[in-house]
Amino acid sequence: MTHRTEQFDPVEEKELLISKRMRESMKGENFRTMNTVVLNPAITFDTQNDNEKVIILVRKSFVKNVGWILRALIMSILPFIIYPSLIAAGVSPTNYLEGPLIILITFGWYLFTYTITVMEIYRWYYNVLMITNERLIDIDFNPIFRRRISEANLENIEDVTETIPNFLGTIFNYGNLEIQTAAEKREFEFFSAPRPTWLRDKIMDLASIRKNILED
Amino acid sequence: MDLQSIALFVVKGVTLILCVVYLFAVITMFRQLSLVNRALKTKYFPILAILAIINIILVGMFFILAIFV
Repeated sequence: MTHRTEQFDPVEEKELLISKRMRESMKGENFRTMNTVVLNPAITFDTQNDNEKVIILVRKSFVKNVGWILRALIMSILPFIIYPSLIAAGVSPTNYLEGPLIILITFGWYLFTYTITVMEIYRWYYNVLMITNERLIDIDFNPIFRRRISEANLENIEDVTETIPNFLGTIFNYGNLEIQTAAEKREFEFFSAPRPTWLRDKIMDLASIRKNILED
Repeated sequence: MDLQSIALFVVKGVTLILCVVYLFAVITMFRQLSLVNRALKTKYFPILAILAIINIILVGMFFILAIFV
């Protein structure tokens, strides 16, 4: 009778152990942050390694969206205020512009409002900090002009600094994170992260789990 | 050609150029979106892509309207 035992590569075995320990360390963590801090999210990415799992996904605090949401609302209702106001003041737009031109201008205004609103949605949704069981990935996304994706291995993380930028940060519990890696002048910055104290602590915990297992 | 028709011609020309730039911008936005989706694949990508496609269609409509108005 022959026994077939599964042979694990020691490196792969360590990676599995790291992943298991990290998931264990996240147990009991349960909070609602409007999708800004997602634990064990069901997302993947192209450069993901075989045993790599996303542990934490962080987006900017939802409070940072209030500004553009208000701007979009104001821009949407503005024509409904301007046209009746002009007519009430005795300045009818039709006296100066042709009807189709007024329609074109209004259409252009709403189109512009729609575009900048969609851009802001994309900007919030894709500006993320991902922490996997192997590395930290920072996606800096501008919908039209630029896209910067940087990463660092978790074992290279030296220190994490948390800064609360203003009184709004104190009230709504968000702040900036600066993550320093072992490489010279290599620093990750993530602005307006929700629950910055918890995140700072968690990043260091996950980095030390990885360091300890790799050094064993 | 009187001054008013020259002014109208210039305004229309500038509007059409801006429309082309706008169209390029929204197409770039769609391309950026599909590229960033490789770095972060989520289940909401189809919804976000539809929003971008609607944007391209609307800008195209605006461009056509601007030609004929």
